[in-house]
Formats: sequence, C-alpha cells, structure tokens
Amino acid sequence: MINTDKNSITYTQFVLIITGIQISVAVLSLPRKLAEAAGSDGWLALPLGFILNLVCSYIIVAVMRSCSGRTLIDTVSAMMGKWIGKAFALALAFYFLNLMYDGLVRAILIVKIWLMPNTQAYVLMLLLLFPAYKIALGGPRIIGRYAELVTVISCWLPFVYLFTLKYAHWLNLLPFFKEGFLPVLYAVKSTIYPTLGLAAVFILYPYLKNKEKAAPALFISNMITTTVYLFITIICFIYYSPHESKFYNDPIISILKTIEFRFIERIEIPFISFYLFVFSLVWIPSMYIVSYCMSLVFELDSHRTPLRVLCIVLIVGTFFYMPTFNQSDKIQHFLTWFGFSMEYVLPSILLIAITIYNRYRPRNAL
Amino acid sequence: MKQQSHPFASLIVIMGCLILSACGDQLSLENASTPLALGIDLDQDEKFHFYATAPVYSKNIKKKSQEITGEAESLRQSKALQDSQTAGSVQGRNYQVLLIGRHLLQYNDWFPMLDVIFRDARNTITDRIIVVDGSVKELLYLNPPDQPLLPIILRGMVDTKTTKSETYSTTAQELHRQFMDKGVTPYVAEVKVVNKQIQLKGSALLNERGKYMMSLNAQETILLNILQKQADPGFSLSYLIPDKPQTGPFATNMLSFTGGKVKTSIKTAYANQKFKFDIHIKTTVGLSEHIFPIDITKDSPKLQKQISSLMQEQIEGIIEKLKKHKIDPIGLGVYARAYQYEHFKQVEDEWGEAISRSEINVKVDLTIGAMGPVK
Amino acid sequence: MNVEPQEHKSGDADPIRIELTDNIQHVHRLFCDTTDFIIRTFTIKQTGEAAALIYIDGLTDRPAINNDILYPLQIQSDAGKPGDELVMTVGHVDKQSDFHHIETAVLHGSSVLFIHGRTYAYVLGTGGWPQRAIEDPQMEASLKGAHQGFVETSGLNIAMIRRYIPNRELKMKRLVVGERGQTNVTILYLADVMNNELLLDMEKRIQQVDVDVILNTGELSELIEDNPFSLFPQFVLTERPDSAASQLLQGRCVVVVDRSPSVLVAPVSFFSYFQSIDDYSTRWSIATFLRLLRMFAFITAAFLPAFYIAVVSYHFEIIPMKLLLTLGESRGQVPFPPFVEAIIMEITLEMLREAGVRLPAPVGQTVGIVGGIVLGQAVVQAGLISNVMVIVVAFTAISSFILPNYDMVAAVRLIRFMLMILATLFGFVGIIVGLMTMIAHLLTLKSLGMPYGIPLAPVKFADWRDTIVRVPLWLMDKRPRSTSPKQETRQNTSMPKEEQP
Repeated sequence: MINTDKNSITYTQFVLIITGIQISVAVLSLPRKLAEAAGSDGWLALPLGFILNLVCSYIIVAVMRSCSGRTLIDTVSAMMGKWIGKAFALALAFYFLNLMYDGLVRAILIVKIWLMPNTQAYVLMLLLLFPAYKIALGGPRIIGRYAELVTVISCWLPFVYLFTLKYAHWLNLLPFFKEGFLPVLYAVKSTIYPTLGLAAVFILYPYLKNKEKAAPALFISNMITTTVYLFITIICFIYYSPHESKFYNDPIISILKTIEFRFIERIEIPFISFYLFVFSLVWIPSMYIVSYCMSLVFELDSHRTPLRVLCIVLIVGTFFYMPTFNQSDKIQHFLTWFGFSMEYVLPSILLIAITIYNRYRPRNAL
Repeated sequence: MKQQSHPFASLIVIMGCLILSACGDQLSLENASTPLALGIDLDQDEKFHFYATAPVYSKNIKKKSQEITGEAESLRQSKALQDSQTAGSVQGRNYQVLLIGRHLLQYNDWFPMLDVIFRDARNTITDRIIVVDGSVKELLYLNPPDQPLLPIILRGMVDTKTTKSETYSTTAQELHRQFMDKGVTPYVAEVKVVNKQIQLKGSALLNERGKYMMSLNAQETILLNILQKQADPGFSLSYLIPDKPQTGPFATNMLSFTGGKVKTSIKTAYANQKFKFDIHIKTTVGLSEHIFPIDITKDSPKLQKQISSLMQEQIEGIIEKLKKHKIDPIGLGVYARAYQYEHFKQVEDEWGEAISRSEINVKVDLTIGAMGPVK
Repeated sequence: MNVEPQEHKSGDADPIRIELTDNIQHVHRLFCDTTDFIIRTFTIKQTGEAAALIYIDGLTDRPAINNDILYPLQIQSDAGKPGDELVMTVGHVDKQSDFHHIETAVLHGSSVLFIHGRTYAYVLGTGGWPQRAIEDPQMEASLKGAHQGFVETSGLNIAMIRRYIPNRELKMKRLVVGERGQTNVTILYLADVMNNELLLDMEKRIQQVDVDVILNTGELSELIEDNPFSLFPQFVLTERPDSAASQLLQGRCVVVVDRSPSVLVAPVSFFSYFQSIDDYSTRWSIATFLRLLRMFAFITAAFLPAFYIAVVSYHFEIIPMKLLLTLGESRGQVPFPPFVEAIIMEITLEMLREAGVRLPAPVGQTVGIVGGIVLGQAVVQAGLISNVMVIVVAFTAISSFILPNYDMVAAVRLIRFMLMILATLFGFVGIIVGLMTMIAHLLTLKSLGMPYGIPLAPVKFADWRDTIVRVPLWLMDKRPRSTSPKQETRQNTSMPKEEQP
C-alpha cells in the first residue's frame, strides 16, 4: 500500500499530467501522419480518435473504481496471485519505458537536427535527465506541480501559431471527405500514438484527491489534447499545400521557421529549446511510473534506487547506442500497437475479469 | 534539513563531464562568415555558379562586404570552395535574399538545386526569392558606394513594394509551397540593373517546373494581386482615359487612383469538359490624380464605367497571356480543387493545359469614393 | 528590556547565602577580571540592612540606578524593620535566589540588589545599553511607507510591531538561543490566524539550534532553513515594522532576534521577494505594473547575459539583419570569446557593486564614475569589450537593482553565472536545461514546510491577486492560501460605489 496523503494530486494536476503525456513529442509529427493517411481530410479523424479515447478512458476509470482505493497492481495480485501482479507491473514498466525512451530520443533527435548537430547524444541525455531526475524523485505531487507550471508558462505557445494565419489558404481544407470516408477511418490509426498515456491513470488514480471526479478529469484532458491537435493540424493544413504537409517530418517546427518578427528572426530556435518543457511532460511522469513499478516488482520501499539505476542506464546506454530517426519512427510504430493493446485492449479485459471476479466471490473479494 | 549530503559532489562530476564533452557546436559570430545574399546562375558555358555576399565585420575596412563566388556542382558540394574564400566558416543561417539569374530559369526543374536550404535545418527559409533580369554576377559586384549593402537594399525594396502590391516577397518557403501545390504556379519578384542602378521590375512568373515564362510590370502585378485576393488597400493604378484630349508633351488624359479594400469573388464551375471561372472584382477607390478637367459630382458614373472597363481590359489581357503560357499564378487550381474536386483530380498533373482551355470571365465594379481635397 | 531568567541548564543549583559578604565574595569570583563590573555596598535607610548593588557599567541606565534605586533606598525613606518590602521606583523587580540566574541577568543589563539576611536577591530592570535612534530603514527605503526601521533591541522592535497590531491575539513565544550568547529570540504570531503546525515547526527548529551565539538574524535563518544548499533565500528578512505587521496579518510568523535590526518572516514563497510595502500604498494599477516589472527584471537579471552568450556564440541566425551588422562590427574587434568577454564585464560589475557598498558615500560616487566612464567608455574604445556587451551588463545591473530584496538579488547573481556557463556550453538548450533545473529546485524547495513556488507551483489562482499582480485592496478579501491560515477571511469591504452623475 502506498501513502497517498502526502503525495495527493489535485484535479487540475491530474488532468495536466495526462494531457502532458499525450501531447509532448507526439504532436510534432501528427499533421504529417494524418496527411499521409488521408491527405487534407486527416484532421477529420481527430474527433473520431477523441471518441475512441473517451470510451477507453471510461473503461480505465471503471477498472480503477472497482479497485477501491488500492493500486491496480495490488488488486491484480490479490485477484490472480502475486506473480501475475508482478508481471503486470513489469508490463506497465516496460510500456512506460518505451514511452519515455521514445520521448527522450525524439527530443534529442529534434535538438540535434535543429540546434546542436555536433553535440553528442549522451551529453544531451545527461542534460535532460538532470532536472528530470530531481522532479521524478519528488513523486506524483511534484510531477503534478511541474505539469501545472509548464502549462502556465507555455500557454502562450499556440498563439504564436496564429501568426501563420496571414498566409492561410482555407480552401486547402475543402472539400471534406474528398476521397470518401475510408481514408479518414484509416487515419484514426494515426491518432492512437499521439493519445497514448491514459495508462498512467492506473498508477496515478490512487493519488487523486477526489476520486469521483476522475471520469470528468479524463474527459477534460482528452478534450484539451484533441483541441490542441485540431488547432495545430488545421494550422498546418491551411498553411502548407496538400502535398506539402507530407513533406516535412515535423511540420509543427517547420512552420515556425516561416514566422518573422521585427526583433527576432528565426523564432524556431528559441522555440525548440522552449519546447523541451513540453516534451519533458512525457518522460518525467514515465520515469516515475517505470521506477515505481520496478520498486513494486523488487519490493523496495521507495522508487529512488530504480530511478537512479534508470538514469545511469539511460546515459551509459546512449553513450553506446543512439537510435536514428528511422529507428525512432519504428519505435513509434511499435508503440502504436503496444499502446493500443495496453490502453485499449488490456483495460477491457481487466474490466471483464474484475467484474466476473467480483460477481463470483462477493464475500471476500478485494 | 540534513538531507542531500552529496548534491555538490555529483554536480561537480556532472559539470566536469559536460565541460569536457561540450562545445561541439560553438561557432561565435565573428568566426562565422554569414552571407546575407545567395545567388545562383549559369555562365556562358551553361555551368552552374554560386554567388554570395557576406558583410565584413570591421571598422577599419572601407568596403563593407565580401563577395564569394565559384563554379560548383551543387550548393552544399561547394561548401569547401565557399569556406576557402573567407576567414570564417560560411553559414547559410542569415540569408536575406536569394537571387536567381534569368539564364538559369530558362531550364526546367532547377528547383531541387535548392534542396540544401530546406534540408539543413539551420538554414533560413524566409529569404526572399528574386529573379535577376541579367546576370547575377553583375548585380552582386555592383557595390554602389552611396548605398547600403546590396542585401539590405534588395530586401527593403521587395518588402516595402509588396505592401503596395507592386511585387511579391516570395520566400523560399512560399516558393516551395507554390511548387508543391498543383493548383498554382510560382510567382516571384524580379529586378534588373539599369545604368548601375538596381531597379525593381515587378514580378516574374514561372511554370510549374520552374521555367521562366513571362514578366509583369508593377501595375500588372497589382492586378494579379487583386485576382489573388492579396491586394492590400493602398495600391495605386493609373490609366489613360481614351476620350480626353492630350495636349503637348504632357499626358493630360491620365487618371490615377488609390485602391481601397478590394472584394474579389471567384465562382468555379465545370461544363463542357472545361473549367469555368467567374471573377468579380468590387472595389471603392479614391482619386489621386486626374490631369484633365472633369466634374466628378456629375460625371462620376460615366468615369466609373470607363475606369472599370479599362481595368477589366487590362486584366483580361493578363489572363490571356497566362493562358497562352499555360500558367496559373492566380491559384485558380486551388478553387477548382476545393469546389470541383472530381474534375480537378483528373487534370491536376497537367493543370497548365487545363487552365489554357478553361473559360475565365472577369467583371470589374469600381466606385469612386473620394476625390481628394480639391475639386 | 527585562530578562526572564532562563531555566537551569545544569542541575546544580547555586543558591544565595544568608551572609552578604559570602555573596559578595561569590560574585567577585564569578566576575573576576571584569573591570566594568561594579559593586556598590551601602546600608538601606528604611530597614537598616546592609546591601550590595551589582551591575555592569554601560549596560545599565545610570540615572535609573542613581535616582530610582540608590536615592530612595539611602536617603528618602521612612523607617521600617528588616525584612520589609523595599521602596524602589523601578518598574520591573524580580526576586531570584540562584546565582545562575543572577549572573545571566547582570550580563543582560539588569542590576541586582543583595541584602544581608535575605536568601533572595532583587533583579532590577535597569537595562540601558548603548542604543541607536530609530531611523529610516536603509536597505528597504520606501517612498510612502513609514520611516521607522527596526533597531538592535528586540523589545523596541516588538513594540514597533505592536503599534501596528494592537490586538490581544498578537501572541509571542520567547526562546533563548546560543550557549554563550543567550540571545533572546521571540516568535510573534497572530494566534487566531497563524497555522499551529507551522508555528510548532518553527519553534522546534529554533529550539534545535545549538550554537555559541547568534549575532544576526541572517545566522539564525541559515541555521533553521529547509534546504541550506539552495541558492534561494527561504525566509524574508525585513527591517521594516510595517512589512512585518503586514506579513503577520497574512498569517505568517515573525521572528525577532535581539541585537539584530532585521526580523525573519516565515513561511514565504518565491514571490514574496517581489513585494514591497509601497505596493499597498500606491494605486493598484501602478503596483501591478511594478510587480510585473520586477518579475521581468528578475528574468533579465538572471538570463540576459546568458542569452547574449548563447546568441552570439551559437544562434546568431535569430538576430535581425540590421542588428547583426552592428553586433558583428562591435564583436569583430573584440579579442575574447563571448564568454570571457561577458565574465570580465560581469565580474567587474560585481566588484564595482561590492566596492560601492563598503565605501563611504562620497568615495562611493567616485567608484560609480570610474565604473561608468572608464569601463563603459574606454573599454569599448580600446576594443576590449563590444559595446553591446556593455549595454547588456548595464541592463542586467539595473534589473537587479529593481528587485526589492537583497537576498534574492544575491541569489540572482549566482544563478546568472551558472546560466552563463551553461549557455557557453550548450547555447539555448543549456539555458533551458538551467531553467528546468531551477524550476525543479523551486518545486521541491520548501519554506517552513510550505511549498516555495506557491502560487505558481502549485497553481493557486486566488493567491495571484497579491503576488504576481496586485488587485485593488477590496478584492483581497482572503488571506493567502500559501500560509494555510486558520482564519481565511481578511475583510469584507465591497467595491466603492461609483456615484451616478
């Protein structure tokens, strides 16, 4: 059992942690992936993805609610035995390790491409992990505050994108469903990867102050994510010509290159640096979740040791091996499927399992 | 209070590691050579040449710029050649203008030569593309002593004239968009050296593969801007009114006006195997000059009609020329795609052909809103 | 000014003897080689007993001893019998029967009257040590606020605070800190506002301090801080009674340290360092503007040199063309890399500032002239430093002068140097990582157990009203949540009605 009193997080913090994990690095390539799947109709897939996520959120909340205050891993252990519980913790840890690694690798690759082509990857990894370690060590409460603070200091970012509206070609969006409905449905697949992160609810739910508000919180967080994605995607689609949207790897950054101010040319340079804050919203909570799950697996009393080991392994590992852009794309592709099974399939199975379990052993259950 | 016993030790170790391993990307301003203008052109032997002019950071040297030039296979391949001519390392991060010689534009498919500009993320893509009528070399080595650096003049020229709709400040990014968009053909600014003076000619229109097709002067560029719905209020047009007398050496039948907000509506239709565009331009103008006497209060309806038809004629002339050259800088293809997607899709790869077959009707409705402080 | 005798540290009591001479001998032994120690023996006229008055010259008020003790006891008195209550016109009289207490009392400025035949002595509150007059506070000058600053006597300081809050809920706890110094430390708080847990925590922390002597509030603050490794100050030290009173009303506690002209306020947040008492006496719109200006100044003071280094040595593509030409021209002649250039100027600036602080005012001006003219002008003309760098340094200096709190300015200076190193190594990425580390630190830092980053981390929008901005006073109806006060409502004023014409 964990002590949640000293580490409880508020409603807003809960919303923002989830949204942060979802948006972070995934937003960068989203317009390209949507365009690749459905051309300029790609943005129409976002509302569909939103509905899908909403369903998934409610399933996860239903699972957590039936755990009545305990962590999911405790529940699973109680239900199916200690080793299955540990296996479950290990699976979660592995999943978030992937998410975290993907976020870090993406961020480093972006920084290397746009700002520091000659700097070693492990140096950047060290730089990024130093503050991340300090925050992740603090547990959910500090992470929640961090997410809140980052949201406050970066809420002006979308407004800068409005400057591109000067060159907007709204006609690019017309006509809707130009190739029919199928490509749009196909594009929904591209929205899976950018909305991954709901599994964090498995870990964070016990820390939430008002547990009955979890479902509305997830609605809000999905809402924010979808709004940001819609906004960014439409901005990209009306700025770039239809075939051009597929041309840029990270249209979100490329589009910044075209904004000029009198006092500062090339705003993408300070922007990419600043984006590190947004990116960090995926790897910091993930680092915590990974080390927390590992501490459960090894039955340690705090997540400090796994966190340290994680950081050192990451830095030393990057010294020897750093994925290329293509490999990073492959990680993302893998994450799409892995994430789908972890966040969409697994909760459904769990929900069914727990319901059955509760029905047949109502006396001494949980 | 007694926690954290060794943050300093770890901090020092980390700092040590960082200092040892950093600085790979440091390049301070004075060690870099930052060309502000890049030019590409072909010489008489049809060989690709690059030109660049970089500012010289010194107080004691009179000439403030240094020119770099050479023959090359491609821009990035010539990096060593560029570096060898300057004290610093040449960085493409501060280009203000990108000059392209007309000679080079006689060929199709030159655009991929600029790939490095988009692929090297540190290069700027807001440099203005300017076509040079003549040789880029001549323009770059002009160095008039009584004027600021060439890139500054050119950039200022293009940017301010664009606010008057007399040319286009097409950035590299915008050019890329125009090339990638199948419904529009590129249009860029054009300059010329006349008597050792740089002159802005107007705009140059290219076909979808980048070959130079035709030029427009300032007034025609304004009209094209109106068709593109890009004309900002404040542009100025002049026409000779046919039924007014001309006396002596003076063009006394001249009338000029300043445009207000222009409302251009484009209707798209498809009939008889061809596209049909109805363009309706509505605007209110203020007279800024009429050299012949006229009573505006009484004769304005007639005058309005005259100017409208003059403007309409000129626009129709431009459109005829565009059709002849099979180019579509107006971006009618974008309308066709938006409203007639099925038909557009069949012809999108030879849109130039389709536009030359299409039917484009123009109607101008002009109202005189003001006559100035004198009668 | 009185001193309450302290509890026995050591169990062995040292009682007063019946014989006066024994007592005098004992006192002599205690205070040998102490030339400012005075024993006056005399016979009390009223009762005819032999008595001895001991005190330390200079720590006591001479007129009081002469007129209020010696005069009534020796001259003007009616007859009585031994053992009677004595006639003395001294306010604070305390009976003590233990030498340990007497020793402490004497050392703190009381005089002690021994009387033959009595097993107790009178400790008389005649303290009157050298004192400074109450002056305008120097570090925190204010335009419209009061012009009284704290002095070195805790009694007076407490009185000055009490003048602002004449309320019986203003309670205090007195603790003595320091084995040798026996410094009186008083915690002041509003009993019905201040959070109990915080108060207990404060008390516990002060009690745990075990040092020789505390000379200054700063020392105490360092000993009881939450994180002594942090660059940021975690308690506000103020020398203004009105600020202290305002902090008390917001639910904080104030620690008054005797012999120190500044008091300690806890718990505080990062944004407390951007508030000045003048904010409440100027119009709210101006005060808001000033607060935002201070935030901006903090950011520039910490980041501007680093930004300059990062731009010039990594990211010069963001400089607009015309500025690039100017910058390039002035950088072109400088022989040093940007970091060295910046470090030279920043260190010069710090030296000038330190020189100015210690020197008397007329000489201090000369330092300013030397700094301004010689460095600003000649260094650029000699081509050693670029003129843009001089502007950057000047701007940084001005920005740091705007910040109202000295401790925060000192923190900013160090942060600036760290960020400069990071910027030299990694450009903008370095700056952002520095900022992230700073944020991570601010998130985990606490002041008396309360989050230091409040109301920005955790976000408490209600508290923004009096931290990041300053809303009209009638809107500040709640005490700040950052102190988790017992009583939340502060006032019920409604907005002044505007009269219709």
